Amino acid sequence: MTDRDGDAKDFWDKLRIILSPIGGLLTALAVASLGFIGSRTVERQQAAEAKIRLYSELMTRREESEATLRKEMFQSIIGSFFDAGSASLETKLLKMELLAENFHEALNLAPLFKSIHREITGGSEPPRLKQAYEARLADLAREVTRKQMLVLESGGKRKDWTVVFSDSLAEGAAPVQLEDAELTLDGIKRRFRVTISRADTIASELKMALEVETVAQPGVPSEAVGRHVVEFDVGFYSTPMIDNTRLSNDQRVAVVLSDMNRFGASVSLIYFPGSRASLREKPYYEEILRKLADTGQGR
Amino acid sequence: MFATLVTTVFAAASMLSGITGDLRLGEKYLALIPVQLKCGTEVVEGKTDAAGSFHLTAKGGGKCQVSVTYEKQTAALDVVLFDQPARYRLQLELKDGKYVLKRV
Repeated sequence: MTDRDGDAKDFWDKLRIILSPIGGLLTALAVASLGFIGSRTVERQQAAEAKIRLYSELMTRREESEATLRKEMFQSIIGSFFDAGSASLETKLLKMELLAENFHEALNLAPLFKSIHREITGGSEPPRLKQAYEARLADLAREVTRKQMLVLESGGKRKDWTVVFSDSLAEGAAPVQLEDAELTLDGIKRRFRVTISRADTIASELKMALEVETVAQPGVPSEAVGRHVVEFDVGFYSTPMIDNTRLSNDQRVAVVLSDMNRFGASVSLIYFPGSRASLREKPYYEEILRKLADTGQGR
Repeated sequence: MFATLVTTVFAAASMLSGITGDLRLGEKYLALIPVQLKCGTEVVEGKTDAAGSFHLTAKGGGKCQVSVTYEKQTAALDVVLFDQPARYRLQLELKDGKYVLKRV
């Protein structure tokens, strides 16, 4: 009875005999596949990380070489401005152009602009040459502002006004309040009010007050809510990346004098993120982060 | 003689100034809309192009007025002309049934 029971194998016994090697085989295959997929994933990750490392290495090297070049260039140009018995106005203007074209994002050039302007007006050159120098200096300042505005506008919001001068504004007797600008940047809405209290057409400068109102809204700290007023002078030598007002949430606002004559002025307000202010070696940090994120998505 | 001629030509050229820019109604740029620049007695007529941009040059300068004719209404805005062309981003806004021209 026992032997017969031992010899007789039912369906399940047979299935167990057949499936036991297949099971082993499947387990081996599963382990092998897992290993293969795992190693492929690790390989891909390593390749992507190597790309990111290479990219950041290249960027660092480029920035290092750029910084060295710019440092040497800066030292050479700025040093020559303070040399005793320095060069002619023509040479100084050329140096100023070099400095402004290459370092306008990093340096407040207003004192140098004003110094050269004083030299031009107080110099002994013929009036026509003085006029030409003054125009060249003003054009350079406006070009710097225009370039900065283009960069800031791409990440911010802009509002332009035309101010038609009256005698009372020139005398500082009747301030002119420009139309309010309500601008929203990165979900933060603010109201800006510009009041011009005096227009100096000789020095090409406007004395103004800027009122910034931030209402309570999500993401804005309570201490930043309210109205704040700043007063300042704006001329052609005021550049928005340098001469700006710091706002909450790492934002900035600047008022720019785009153009001016005895009839009126063109004034612009630019509301932009703090990452674009002052010295920001190109590419900007958010650009690098975006590129890294793009590399990650491309895996 | 030649120097005087060159100086005169350059002086005349430098006196030319104008405005450049575009015209919108809300977010829509307005194409082929009559734009006029009036500086004293001088009137310069133009039209926006297919992209809603315009460029007007006047011989005079100083205080001027730019006007736009849209849907049988004319809206105007005071402008100032400088040595270099100034950029004007103009926007028409409907207020109480009347179009108002604004610089934005």
